[in-house]
Amino acid sequence: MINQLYRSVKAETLKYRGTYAMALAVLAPLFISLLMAVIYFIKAEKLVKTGTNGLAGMLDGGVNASAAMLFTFYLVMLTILIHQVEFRAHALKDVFSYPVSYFSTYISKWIVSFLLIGLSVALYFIFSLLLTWVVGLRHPSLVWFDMDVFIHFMKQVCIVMIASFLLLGIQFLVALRWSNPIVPLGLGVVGFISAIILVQGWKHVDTHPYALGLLSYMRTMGRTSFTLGHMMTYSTIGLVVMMTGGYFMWTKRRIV
Amino acid sequence: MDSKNTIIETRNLSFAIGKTQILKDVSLSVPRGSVYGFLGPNGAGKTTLIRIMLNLFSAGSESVFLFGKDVTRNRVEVLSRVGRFVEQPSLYDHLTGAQNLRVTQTYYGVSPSRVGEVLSLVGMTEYANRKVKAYSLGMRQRVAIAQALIHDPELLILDEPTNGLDPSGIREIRELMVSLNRDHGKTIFVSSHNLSEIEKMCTHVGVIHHGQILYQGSMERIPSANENTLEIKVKDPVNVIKLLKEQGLEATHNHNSTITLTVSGEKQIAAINRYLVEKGTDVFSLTTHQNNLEDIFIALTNDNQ
Repeated sequence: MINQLYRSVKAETLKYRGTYAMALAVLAPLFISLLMAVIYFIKAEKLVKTGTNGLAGMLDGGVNASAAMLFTFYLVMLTILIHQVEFRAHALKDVFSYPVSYFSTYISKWIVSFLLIGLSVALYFIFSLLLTWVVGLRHPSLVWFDMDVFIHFMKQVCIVMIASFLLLGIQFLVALRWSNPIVPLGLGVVGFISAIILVQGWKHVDTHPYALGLLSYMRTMGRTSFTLGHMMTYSTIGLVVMMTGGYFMWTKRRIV
Repeated sequence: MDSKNTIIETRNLSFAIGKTQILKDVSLSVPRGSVYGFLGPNGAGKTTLIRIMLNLFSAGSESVFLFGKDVTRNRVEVLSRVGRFVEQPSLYDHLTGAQNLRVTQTYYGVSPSRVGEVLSLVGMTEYANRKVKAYSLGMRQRVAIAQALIHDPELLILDEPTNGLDPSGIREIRELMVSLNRDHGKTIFVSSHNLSEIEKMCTHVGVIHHGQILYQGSMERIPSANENTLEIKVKDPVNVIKLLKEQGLEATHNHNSTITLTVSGEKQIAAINRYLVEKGTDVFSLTTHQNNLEDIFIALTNDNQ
């Protein structure tokens, strides 16, 4: 079983070389960190009070934008692109007729998804660190590296990521079930819009999968009273349920 | 079941999708070491049966056996001994031919050196490092066949492997299959629309129509395969038909002044000619035509409309 899983994961990683999924995993974190760095590079004097460190504001701008919208669409697009690699090649019939268990082929897709998300998050940290240094060179008295601020930023990113697990699970399953990418994309858009509206005042919004990322970010900023632990646990359990349901869907799939 | 001699067996296999019955009571037996041609018109159930053999569709246990083992219960073990090509090449366009084979090789867990070997076998070494999106259909077919061969399987299940190939490509694939069977002892189960191809390379044949097996067996034993059609041009066809009927022979009158009847060999043709001349009939010409697979296939499928 371990050998089959190893072979499946290795084969999956080979498939994603040079794909849009891989490009998204690399370019999305670069885009966010670069965007904030360019803004601070150009307008730091207007954005940062003299004598204070603008690093927190610069990093927070990126996390805020990610939690509110970008991370949701990143996950929507990533899950679509991962499964489209298989759909476009009509390769599911091959995947199902390799001498490896259904469990191995299914879990390997999840592992690759987590690896790509992990790569994005790691690159986000690295790009943010490098660009902090670049902005610091231009404005040494306004932006400089502070370990505590950076650790807080990393914690925020991890919290938003964990709180988005349920969203990931739903999008992964829908993108796997429907080869037409419009279906998961449409669901992502509907989920995002409804979350943005419901965050304004619905008291049970902490059960909405697409609102959890934004809510958890708001909680780290003290802007909402929803419990962080509850949201992260709910999201993680939801992911496990989705993964389990998806496995049964995978084994019952009729490959046409 | 004799698993030493039978490599694929289906037992009273029936399969439906929704309310549509695709296969009805299909009992198939493919001998080890054979090249088995699986014939049938579009929609007859060929691809469905192949998908069931590969466990892509589940038809329940105890109905499909490969190497004497139930496919449903021994899926991983059975699939490790089968090479397959289903309907169309499934290749990742953004990868090169060699990279695609590397993916397949990794799934099977065989040596990376097999990639080069199978590329050479299908004549694709020169194009190995070109992206698949730049390949012609024929090149894709070759790489897909290379995928089927990468783990050196005992059994090849190929669904329309020559679809889209030009005549020289068809010939090369046919020669490859014959060589794999003759020189490497592979059993090959191949479905095709191309009857002449099947006729040229297969040792056994199965005919499916409306989800039912109409015939299966060796090429030599096909009913009427050894019969000839005799066409006789005469002055008075109606009278000749009567004369032949007196001899117990059924002939049909064609649109011109010819009649046709089925005969079993040259001796019978000579006897008919002698008989007609003795009866004072002017015989202008005698033409024989050996029934080929296409005639037999059409006759079998027409009988079961």
